[in-house]
Amino acid sequence: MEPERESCLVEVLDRLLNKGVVLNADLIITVAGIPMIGINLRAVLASMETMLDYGMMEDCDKATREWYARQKCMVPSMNR
Amino acid sequence: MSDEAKYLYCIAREHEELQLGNIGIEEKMVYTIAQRDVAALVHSCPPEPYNTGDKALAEGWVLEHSYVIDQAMKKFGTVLPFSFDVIIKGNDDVIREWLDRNYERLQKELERLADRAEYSVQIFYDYDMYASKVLSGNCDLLALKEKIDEQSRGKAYLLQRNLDLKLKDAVSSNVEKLAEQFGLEIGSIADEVKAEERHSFVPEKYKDKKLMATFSCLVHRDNVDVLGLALEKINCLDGLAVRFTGPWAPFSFVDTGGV
Repeated sequence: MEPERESCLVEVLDRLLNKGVVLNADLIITVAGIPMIGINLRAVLASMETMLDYGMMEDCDKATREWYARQKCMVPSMNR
Repeated sequence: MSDEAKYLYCIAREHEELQLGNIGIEEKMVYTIAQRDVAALVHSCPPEPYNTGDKALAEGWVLEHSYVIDQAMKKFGTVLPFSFDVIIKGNDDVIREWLDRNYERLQKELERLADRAEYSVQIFYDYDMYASKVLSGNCDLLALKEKIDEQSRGKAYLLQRNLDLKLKDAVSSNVEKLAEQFGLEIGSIADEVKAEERHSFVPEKYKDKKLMATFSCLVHRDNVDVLGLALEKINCLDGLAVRFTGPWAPFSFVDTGGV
């Protein structure tokens, strides 16, 4: 079977909020002399994740796909 | 203190400074800041985090971040994706210095993940089918079922509940063993596999089934077809369904060692 490029909102949230490179913090901090900021929206988005976990936003697949479809039409190409 | 800050999307192998268009969060211009052959994809922003109480807006930001990563993968191949809302205070030079200081680590990680991408595998099962399979092969449960038929209504109800609970446990243990076996099979093809236990979200299409397991897999591009074939075999088994998605940036596998 072929992999599909299809992702539900809850999966996108899980990837972007819980995974990936984080530069150490939720607050303005200084690491090795470089001030860094990395504040997240976990309070808002975590409750959304919970809703999705409990199937309270069942149309998320559709909504995510529609959003991507819109972006594909609107966004300029990335050619050099 | 500078009022400038850079929102970070990902690190890619690129030596040129490029403008990638207004594809960022809230249509911000995304561009690369390069140091030697490693570049950060960023947009300029005020030195404050993206923050809102509006869920729809927050959701849009996350999807926009995800979109930039997808586009970056198409253009640059392997990227090291940043989590949402990671912002460095400072101008392009500050980012260049940061890239320079962490060059070895970033370069090594790009090398390790080159030609590989993350795929997600979800395996679903039909509970009723597995329950009847487990029941027919379990003497104790079959005896309990027979006993129910001989009892008065009240007692039969209690015994039925007891049977349901025992059956549920037996199915769970059966399913766990199967998941472990499938995990090993997938692990023999993928470079790395992680069993995801955080959430049990089941997409609409599989609502009539239960989730057996979710695996995040780091797979070399030469092995994607092999993995697809292995998953097809699982998908063809009675009462099972497989959802295979990707390629995604290696969110679950990137390890920059605390840059």
